[in-house]
Order: sequence, then C-alpha cells, then structure tokens
Amino acid sequence: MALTDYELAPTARRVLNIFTLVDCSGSMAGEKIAALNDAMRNVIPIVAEISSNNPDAEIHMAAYCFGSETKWITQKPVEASMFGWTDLDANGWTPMGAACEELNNKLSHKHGFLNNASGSYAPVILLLSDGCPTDDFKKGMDALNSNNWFKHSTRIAIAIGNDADLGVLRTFTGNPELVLRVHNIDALKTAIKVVVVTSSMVCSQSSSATISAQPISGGANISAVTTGTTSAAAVAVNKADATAAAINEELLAVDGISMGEEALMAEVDFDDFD
Amino acid sequence: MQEFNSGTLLVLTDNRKARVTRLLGEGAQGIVYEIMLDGRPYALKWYKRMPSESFIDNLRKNAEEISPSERFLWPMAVTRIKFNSIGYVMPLKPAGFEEFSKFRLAKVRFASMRAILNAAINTCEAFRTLHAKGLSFQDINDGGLFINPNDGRVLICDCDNVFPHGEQSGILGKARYIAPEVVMGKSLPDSYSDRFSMAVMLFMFFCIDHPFEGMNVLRHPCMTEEIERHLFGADAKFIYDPDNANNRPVHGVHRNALMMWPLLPEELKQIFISEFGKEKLINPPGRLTELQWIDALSKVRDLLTRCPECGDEVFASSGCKCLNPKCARPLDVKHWLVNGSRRYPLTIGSQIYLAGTDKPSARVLSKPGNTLDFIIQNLMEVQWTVNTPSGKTITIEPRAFVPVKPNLEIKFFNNNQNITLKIQ
Repeated sequence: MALTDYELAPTARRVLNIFTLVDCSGSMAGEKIAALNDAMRNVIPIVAEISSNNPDAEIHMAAYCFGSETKWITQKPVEASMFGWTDLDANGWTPMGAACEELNNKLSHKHGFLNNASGSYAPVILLLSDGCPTDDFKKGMDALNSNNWFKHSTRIAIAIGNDADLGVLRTFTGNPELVLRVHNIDALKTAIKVVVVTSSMVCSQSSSATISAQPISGGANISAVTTGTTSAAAVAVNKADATAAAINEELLAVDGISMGEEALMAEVDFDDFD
Repeated sequence: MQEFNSGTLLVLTDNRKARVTRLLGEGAQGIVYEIMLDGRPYALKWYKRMPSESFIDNLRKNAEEISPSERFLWPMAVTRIKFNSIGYVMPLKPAGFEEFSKFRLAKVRFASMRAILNAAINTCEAFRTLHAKGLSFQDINDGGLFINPNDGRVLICDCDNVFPHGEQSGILGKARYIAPEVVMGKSLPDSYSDRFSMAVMLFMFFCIDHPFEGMNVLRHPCMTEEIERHLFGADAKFIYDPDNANNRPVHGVHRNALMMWPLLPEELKQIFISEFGKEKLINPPGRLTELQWIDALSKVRDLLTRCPECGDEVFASSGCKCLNPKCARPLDVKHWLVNGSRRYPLTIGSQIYLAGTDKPSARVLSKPGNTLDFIIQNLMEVQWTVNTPSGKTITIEPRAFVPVKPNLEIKFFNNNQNITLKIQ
C-alpha cells in the first residue's frame, strides 16, 4: 500500500489557549477551593477529548493562581491531554491587579505564551473570584486593555458567592453576559464544567457565519433577505457573544447560578444611592 | 436543555412513536440519539434550541421528499415538539464509514489513491443529484461527511440545511469552507457557493491541509473573525497559485500539502489551480459543475494504474513516479486504449474501469513466454468484436485475450450503448 507509506500528520491546527485565573485568597479556603480543584480535574479530560476530535484547533490549557502565592501551574500552556492539575491551596490576599499584569505579560506572541508556529485563535480567559482585589486592579486592567490578544479574547468570570465584586469582574469580561454568579458549591462545579467545555467548543472552531447573529432561528432577518434585500450581510458570529449564548443555554435549568443582567440586578445596593 | 434518557418516547408528526435507545454524539446544533422506530434502529437529531418556523417547515418538506441518492443520510420524519424543541429521524450510519474530520486529524487514512479518487467522484455525484433536484446544501464542511477509507464510498449527513437554490437556511456556512463571495457579503449561499465548498473538501481529500492556508495565515499569530474574513474572502489565495508564491505551504506546518501535492498528476493539479484561481474566485458561475468535476476526476482516475515493477499505484502522467517511495520508478506507457476523450494506459498490471463501472472491464498482462508482448483480457460479461487494420473481424469471448497492437478496434454493446475502443 504505497499511499499509506507516506506519514501524514494531523492537519495544521491553530491553538486555542484556555487560561484560568484562580483567586486563591484566604476566603477561598475550604470547600470552595476543594470544589474548584475537583471541577478542574473533571473537566480537563473532557477538553482533551474535544481537542483530539477537532480538525480546526488544538486546545492548550494554563492556569494561574493568585493569593499569598502567585504562580502558573505549568511553565507554559500545554495540550489539554497533557495538562495535569495541581491542587491549589488558598490563603492570603487577593492580588488581582498583579494577576492582570502577569496575564498581560504572557499574552504576547514574542515574549509570552502565544508563539505557536501554526498560529492561534484568540484565547479564552476564565477568572474565578470570591472577593475584591486587594491591590491596584485598575493598573493591571489598563495594561490588559492595551493588549490586542486580550481585546480579541473571550473572557468569562465566575463570581463565587455574594462577596465577589461583580463590577470588577464585569470590567474584566467587558461583557455583562459573561459574568456568572454561583450561589453554592454544586453550582460552582457545574459552572466551571459548562464554561470550560462550552468555551472550548465554541472558540476552537472556525466561526460559523449566519445571516443573523442567531443560528437557524433568525427568522426576521431571513425574511428581510427573501423579500428583496440583495446585499447579504455576512455576519461572522462574534465568539464572545456565541459563547455567552451557548453557556446561557446550558445553564438555563441549573439552580444556584445567575448570569448576565440577572446577576447584576442583585448587585444594586440601595444604600449607595443615599 | 433537556437530554433524553434511554426509553424516552417521542411522537412523530405522522403519530408514529419512536423510543430513544442511546446517545450517539453531540454537535454544536444538536444531539444525535439512536432510536427504535417500527422495530428498526434509526438516528435522531435533536436540536438544542428550537429552530425557526421557516426552518422547520423546510425540514418537513425535505422529509417528505425522497433522498436525492443513497449517498445521503436524508431526513425521513420530523418529531412533534417536546420540551420546547424538535428533532428529525434519519438512517443510521452503517459500519465502515468514518467522519471526514478523522481523516484531517490523520486518525484514519485512505487506503489508496483510487479510494481518494472514488471518494471525490462519489462526493461530486452526491451533490450532482442534490443540485439536479433544484436544492442546495448551503453548509458543506468537514463535519457532515462520512467516507469509507477502503473503497471511497461516501455518506452525507446534516441535510437539515438543504434548501431550494435561491432560498436561505439562515446559515452561511463554516468559515474556511464558505465561498469568498459569501464571505465578502456579495451573495448568499447557493449551488455555486456549494461548488466552491465542495472543491475545498476535494482538495482536502488529497492533501489533508486547507487549499487557502499557507504563509498568509501564519503571518497572523492571532486569528480573529476579521482576519478570517479577509483570508477567505477578498484576499483568498490558493497555496499553489502558479502566479503568486506568497501563500505557499510552510515546512513543518503544512506538512501534508507539501507531501501530497507533488504526488498528484499534472492533470489533477491543473483542475485545482483553475478552480481556485482568481478568475473562478470572482466568477462563481464559471466554476466546474459537478458533472464536469466527475468527468475531469474520472479522467484522472483512468490514468491510475499499477507499477509493473512493484505493483503499487502509479499515474500514467508525465512527471509522475510510482507512489511507492521505495520504488518511485516512472511509468513507461507505449500504448493507450482510447474511448473518445477517455484514455487508459496499457501497461502490465493495468486494470481498466470503463465509464460507469465499479468492476474492472479489462486487464493487461504479458504473454507467457514473452514479457514484451502485452495482452488485454476481456473481464466483461459480453463478447467483444475486434476489427483488425487489415479488415478482419474477430470475436473475443469473456475471459479471452486480445494482443496490444496499435490500430486494433474493440467494439461491444453494454448498458444499451455501442462502445468503440481503439488501441493507440
């Protein structure tokens, strides 16, 4: 069999990096950090499976913890199937601003993590926190806001419990629809699984373009086209929006999670308006 | 959304009842289950989100139609609404067929060049029958195609986006497969853009890598939707564009294209160069129709024969060598069997597949005792009549032989057609 003597390789795939930034401050200690460790261990094999079956992209993962100790779990992002989770401990403050600066350093083609030979898709960045930054968050955020990789990335934040600062998380995601608040430990585990799996699936594919932003159910726009609009607006669905819609869909029936406006509504503090 | 357990009962619009037996897979749009209906197993695609009314209407229409050919896993029935969504029934994928994405990931590979050519011709034939019914697929990509790697039979699923040519499913397709005119917003998906997407797939059958992804793609470390729109729209450039080498495949990245393209005969390379050339990119009606593709690919398949030295596959085309890298001898063709515009090389070991046949119609051997004298064996079930240059007529029974001598004419009647072959 001559043809099979030629050693074919998987087609050139771009890399989708999933960065997880975990608040490891003291308030996360106990069942929160334990649930997070457990959820991450469970979700990694699922992501590995998605990666191995995807002809468009190879999914790499990296995680950073910020608390009394700040570090990346691995030296650089590694293929999901090779990514071993190290259980995180929680103590100390919440240096979220410093975490943003560190992320900014790594979101670079030349000096950072994003130097794959076959190119990369814009990364997915997941931020989990149960509190407020205890350092200069704005400084870190300003650095990120001037980073092109960050601008194109899909960012999702999970607020754990009622003390998490939704305003900060919303600033980080740049999209209120991508802020989730979880109210109990089971919800945290579910949210991590759904967010990581869904964003892996949505962001690791070449975008599906639709006439409207809503695949298949864009009735109104379709009728506009069939009634004589000649110029078709090719809308490549924005990945952040597509991710938000897909996560929303998955979490619709899950108790203990509020998302987007619903999460922000609960945040309105009447005392602030005295 | 609601996932079904084994045993969940679904009612079809014609009131038949189907029972879910197990989960088969999950995609972006929906989940596929195995179901039992009328005592037989089928597949069911269940939408994660309720599709629009016009989409469901079209799906029902498709389910009422007969499948364009056996090459489609065509919708057979639509369910009633349950848990605020809907699904449709289709045949189960038989064993032996592998998802095309697995070929792209090098988890499955074609057994032979003939299998690739068969798969390419079968894919064209499937879309020919679809377009002949006035329908367009609108979302051709690597996700909805199953191929048998040994013989190149194909099965096309995800037929829920099939709409009449000119009507819209609402889906423009998957980036990297969508025709440039659709990416640029100049037109909506139709059978012309289907043909572009099909050509992209056909190129991938042979070369695994993408026909428009070379150096140009690597110039962008971060692939955004906007850059994709450029690289697959206004700036789309074939990686082997003879007039512009800017977008050539890159060593170490596009390894498959660099390995496979040089193995292809010039006749096939020219088809891709022309179809992916600037002229056809901006002029969709100029693209090859499926019938023209079938004709062109069949002529390439006619050139595929066996190496007299090692028995491996080799194209009888100038510049081609035996596909066995350890042999790599060029093929010396002294005589051809000619049928109109179709030409078959007459070399030792050649099997001749006449148009429209799956089984070889003839094969070439050397005469025992004299390896330089070639003979053709009639492998058909009909007699051949051979006219010699001096005017004699000789009958060749099935299994009997004709010497390879220039200017002999072989005639027979097959499939209601008089066929004349000439040895040159």
